[in-house]
Amino acid sequence: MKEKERLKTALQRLEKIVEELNRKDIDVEQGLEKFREGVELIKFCRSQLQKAENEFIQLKNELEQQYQEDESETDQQGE
Amino acid sequence: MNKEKNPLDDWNLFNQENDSTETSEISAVKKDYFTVTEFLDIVNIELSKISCRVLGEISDVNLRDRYCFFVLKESNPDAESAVVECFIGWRSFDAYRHLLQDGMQVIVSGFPGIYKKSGRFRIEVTKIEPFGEGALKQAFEALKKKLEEKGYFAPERKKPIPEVIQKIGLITSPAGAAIKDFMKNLGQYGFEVYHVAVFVEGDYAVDSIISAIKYFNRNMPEIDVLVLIRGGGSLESLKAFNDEDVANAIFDSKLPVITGIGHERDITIADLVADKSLSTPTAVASFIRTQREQIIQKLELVEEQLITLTGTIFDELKDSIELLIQDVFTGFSTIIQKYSFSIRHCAERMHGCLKRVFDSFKTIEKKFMNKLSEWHISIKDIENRISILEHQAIHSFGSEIENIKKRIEIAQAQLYSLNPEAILSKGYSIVYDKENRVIKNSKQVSKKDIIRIKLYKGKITSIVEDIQDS
Repeated sequence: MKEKERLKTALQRLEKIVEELNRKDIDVEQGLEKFREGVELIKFCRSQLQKAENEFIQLKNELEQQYQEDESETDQQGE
Repeated sequence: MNKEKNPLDDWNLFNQENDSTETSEISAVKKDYFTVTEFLDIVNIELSKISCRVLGEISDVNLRDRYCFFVLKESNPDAESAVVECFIGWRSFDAYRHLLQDGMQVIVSGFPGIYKKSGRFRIEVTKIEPFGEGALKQAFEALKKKLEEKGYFAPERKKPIPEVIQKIGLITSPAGAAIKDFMKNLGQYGFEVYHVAVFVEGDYAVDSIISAIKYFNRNMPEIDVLVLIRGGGSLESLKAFNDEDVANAIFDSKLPVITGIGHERDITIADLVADKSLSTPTAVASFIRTQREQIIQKLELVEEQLITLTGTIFDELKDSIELLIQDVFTGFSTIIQKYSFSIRHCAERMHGCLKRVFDSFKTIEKKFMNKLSEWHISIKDIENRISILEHQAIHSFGSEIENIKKRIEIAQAQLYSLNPEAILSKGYSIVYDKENRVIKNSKQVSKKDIIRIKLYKGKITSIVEDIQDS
């Protein structure tokens, strides 16, 4: 949950940076600064997303496996 | 000199009364006379040494409460008349009172003496025996009357003779016809006869008979009956059996006494006191024998009756046993029927009960199965919902991830498009001062300052040669 929260915050921060960079009055220095931060955030988001996705896939597999086991059990009892 | 006066000395003195004056003088000194009391004492002491038996006829009987005066007369009609006074004191009075009758011929035993108060000579009587047939008869009648008054002959006080006699205490002389007759007539029935030999006449007869009765009572209480027998004889010879002490001994005996004394006609005091009296020794034996024979007869009769009765009883028993057997069989089958009926009844009831139990069990089972399937359905439902939710979750999370991915990609694309250094590819470059600040105005630098120029590709470090303000 915490990580999800952080991911969400990071994503929001990233979108804000994009929004800020879109402003004309931003100078190169600040822009570079923000850009660097944005790159870091993207890296972070990607890695976090990858982590969450992996976990999600793993959990999903576990669920499916359990469901299959339950099915076979009820089949056996039915016999 | 003897200080104690010897009566014999005095007696001698008395005899020598008319002797010399010397003696008189001595007597005068000593005392030459008796007082009346002294005189009578001396005379009585001397007279008491003469134990006498005197035959005579009783007359002038003067009976008092506990003693008696009488006169004994010369009984020989041929002799001159003579009398002697007699006194019988309380010691002997009761035993001989019945003999104290005028005209009774007796032998009186006792001691002569002078009665001090009257000075009269008399015999102090210790014993009186009747003398002669007449006196004996008279004495017999007198004793009979006396004992009758005392209740000695009362039938209600007499001890019963046991029906079964086995042990006999025989009291008689070892010699003579009596014992022979008795033993001969007793018969061969196995009686146990214990004989105590006694004198049946003479001086020792009374004492020996009394001690024989006492002996059996004391030492052989198991004896069934005492038999006192004696052959016939004169009244004189039967004297012991008319004795009061013998009568008392029979009366006091705890063992029943049967007498058989004398001949047919003889009746003695002993016969009267005895618990059963028979005329002769033979009669006693016959009585005992007859009693035994009767018992044997009775036994035989009883035996026959017993056999007959036993037979009857057996027959009756047999009949009743047969009846009982029948009853038992009938009863048994009835019982079996009863039991089989009740068992069947029970079985039916049990069956009904079990059926109910099974039925209710089946109902419960059905209910349970219904509930189970309900649960199953609801579980399936929940499972479905879970799987829907799961799919939804997976879907939504997946789409969320996709969404985030997209957002990241968009942000990345935007970010990259907004890279301030992206403009360098179009030929622009960025100039930094030595503090790495972007130089946007020429006024920021001076001549000879080192600046660094960032190109699209690579960097250039140069020195400021000239500054032109715009």
